[in-house]
Amino acid sequence: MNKPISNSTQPYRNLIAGYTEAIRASDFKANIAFLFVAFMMGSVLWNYTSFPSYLSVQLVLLPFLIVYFSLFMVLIPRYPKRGAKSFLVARNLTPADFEFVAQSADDIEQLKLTCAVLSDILWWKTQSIRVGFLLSIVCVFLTMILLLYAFFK
Amino acid sequence: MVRDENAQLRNLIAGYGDSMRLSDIKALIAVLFVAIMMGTVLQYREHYPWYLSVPVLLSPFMIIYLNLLFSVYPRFPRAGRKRFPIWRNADPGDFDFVADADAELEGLPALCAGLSRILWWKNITLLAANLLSIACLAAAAILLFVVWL
Repeated sequence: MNKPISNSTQPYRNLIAGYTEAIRASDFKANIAFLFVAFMMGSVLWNYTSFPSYLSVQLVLLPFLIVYFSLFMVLIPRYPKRGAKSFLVARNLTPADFEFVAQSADDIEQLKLTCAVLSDILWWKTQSIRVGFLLSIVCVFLTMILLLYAFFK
Repeated sequence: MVRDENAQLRNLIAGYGDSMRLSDIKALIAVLFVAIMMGTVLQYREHYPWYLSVPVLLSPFMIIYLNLLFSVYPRFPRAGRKRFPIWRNADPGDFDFVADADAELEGLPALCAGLSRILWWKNITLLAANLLSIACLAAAAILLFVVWL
């Protein structure tokens, strides 16, 4: 017989759902940002010959590479060891391996651990995506200043 | 009565969440659209009239990018940080607060206010980007006909 879900676990489940949603949103943003940066890099390199002499290829490409790196850091799949008991990802698992998962489904300590693991994952994702986005914003801003300089020169 | 009020606030929070998600999707698709368009526009720059220099052509794109990037920049309301901690190396013990339902109910109005503020910024930046895109498209259409006639 299935064990009825106690109300005391519901707030934890809601929090876990919140974390999962934020992680998914973060991944989606990073995926689209990848495409955006890739398209932009094509446009920038295509017109490289028209750039002023002080903008070397290395200088132009460096921000792109840093943004790519941070976006990869966002998207890298993470399954931390401390939460592995309740979310098994392994080769050659047997049905018996999931008995513990079923037993601990309503365990508050287990839910707290899941919250901690997800919070940690979201922290990394948020920091990495912020680095990528901030660098993109700064580069767009610098490009605007350079364009204004070229226009009024 | 109090219960209804809380349910109302929760519905409002869900509504804000939905609107933000929708706004983010729109902004992300718009970023892609504008990035593809910029490549196409730049490719034919030698055929444009003299007054359409590269800085003039690129300025609207840059303003749109800035707006869209601000729109999708990840933000979490300050008021809700205690109930939605994003910490490095968080311990399970840090989540004892979840059991305190009263504190959650007290924080609902502040959370609504925080989400509303975030949605306002998302909306205003997305609106600015969309309006500028529309204006540029209209200008491009007018210029096309001017050249044609």
